Amino acid sequence: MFDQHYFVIKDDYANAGKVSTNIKTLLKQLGVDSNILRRIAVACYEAEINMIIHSYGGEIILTILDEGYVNLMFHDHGPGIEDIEKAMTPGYSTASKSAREFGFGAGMGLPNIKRMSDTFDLTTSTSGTRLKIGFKI
Amino acid sequence: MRVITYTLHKCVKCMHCLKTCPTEAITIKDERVQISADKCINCGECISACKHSGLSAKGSTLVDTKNYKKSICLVPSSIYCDCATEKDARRLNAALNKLGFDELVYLSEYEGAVYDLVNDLMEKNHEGMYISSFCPVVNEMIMKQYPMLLERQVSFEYPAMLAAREVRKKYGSDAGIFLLCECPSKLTFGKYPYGNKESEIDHCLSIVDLFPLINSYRNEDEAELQLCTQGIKSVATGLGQRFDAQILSVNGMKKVRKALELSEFGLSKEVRYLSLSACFNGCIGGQFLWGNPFNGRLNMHDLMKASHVAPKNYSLEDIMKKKDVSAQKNKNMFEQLKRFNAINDAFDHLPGFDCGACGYPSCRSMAEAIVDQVQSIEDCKIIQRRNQNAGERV
Repeated sequence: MFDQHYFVIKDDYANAGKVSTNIKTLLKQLGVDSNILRRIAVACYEAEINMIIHSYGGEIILTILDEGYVNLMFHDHGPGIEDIEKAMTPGYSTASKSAREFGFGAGMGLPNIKRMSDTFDLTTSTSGTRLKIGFKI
Repeated sequence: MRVITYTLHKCVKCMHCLKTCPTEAITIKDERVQISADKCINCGECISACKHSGLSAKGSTLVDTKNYKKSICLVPSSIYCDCATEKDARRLNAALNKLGFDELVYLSEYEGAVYDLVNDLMEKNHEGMYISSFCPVVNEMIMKQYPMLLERQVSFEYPAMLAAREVRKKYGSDAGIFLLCECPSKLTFGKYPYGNKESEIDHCLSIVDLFPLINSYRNEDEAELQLCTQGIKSVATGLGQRFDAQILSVNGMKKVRKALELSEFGLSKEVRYLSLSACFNGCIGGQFLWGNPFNGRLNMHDLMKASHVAPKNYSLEDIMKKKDVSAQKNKNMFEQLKRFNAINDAFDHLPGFDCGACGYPSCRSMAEAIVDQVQSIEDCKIIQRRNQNAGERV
């Protein structure tokens, strides 16, 4: 088993994607199959960007289980997702104007993440959102 | 295949090469630079980084022409990037003719054919992005470091290989085929000096080594010029593409890596075709060319006016290279994971400065060496000093 913690800061667009790049590099060194790695990379990137845009910041935890699972947990400190069902609808976005100016906020984030991952678990409250996605490797 | 070798007796350990190597292929051990053949992609960054000219890549020499009944030389279009006018180009051609080859074959029309076919293919392509490159460095980098993108890669035969095949068909096995190379990585194209056994090209020559000779032959004489517009476009990136917005040319090692990183996240959806070259401004920025790539691009642009040869006629099947699937290693994940954990444990004990003082490019590669029991944690200079300081205090 292996785990690693990364921190994500609110509105830190300059470093957008850095955590995902690190995770991707790590998994590449591990020799994860490239088809699976592609899904992990895309999902991780989307989720990281989500945290930067929407949350007050938080933590990304990468766990690799000996049984051959990669788990990614995204824990943020709020404000939570108002309507999960809406958030899961492709094209729906609550992204701010500034985020859209950076080219983010197409409303494909969560649906994409779900499509990419093998297990998907999303819980939310005003004090924070917890997204846990898993991949069989 | 690795073309770069360390030639000096003793290394001063300035670590410039160590730090520039994009694939962490270099380690410095016992005052010698060692290059891992597995990791090296022949980009030649270390050759320019070494202040003492200790690293080099050499091609064959003209003496080798004596071994063949007939010698044929393949000339890439990028060699003309130095020529400001058509006249200059003709003079250069005359000088090349005096090098002693029986025949010169100009690659321009082959380069043009490949360039045209790539563009044709992209016009028809409406799904996702394709990566194509005439640059062997980039191709090798994708294979070694960005395996996720392998299926996006259009594998076309290099123009030099196509030309060599045709020349071989024409002259048979007695002929010696020589290729002028504008960068270290193209030295891998031939049988000699680096042993590419399947290749039809017999010898690879580095242009920079021939330059003094070419220069001494250069005078008022002029020879016929055989250039093809599309061929010129293919060696100098950004010289106008057939359709604009969805084709993206990226050149320079750092930018190429950035483009590949972003593509791995699926962020280049709008781009249909990513054309990559490791050298600045494409092949005209090759290390074995003497001109400057800024002027070079303008010169090439001007030379397009003087080009009148049509590209060679090839079909898509002719130039498609079979994809080497076997290259992808099937590693045992669980064994890997064990090793991976061991590396991470070792890594946690290292300072993480990536200073390179131990001779390894990063703390991570040092950690790998510790796990492989090539090095021990006490070899870390920072830890050595910490231990020393602690000892003094006691």
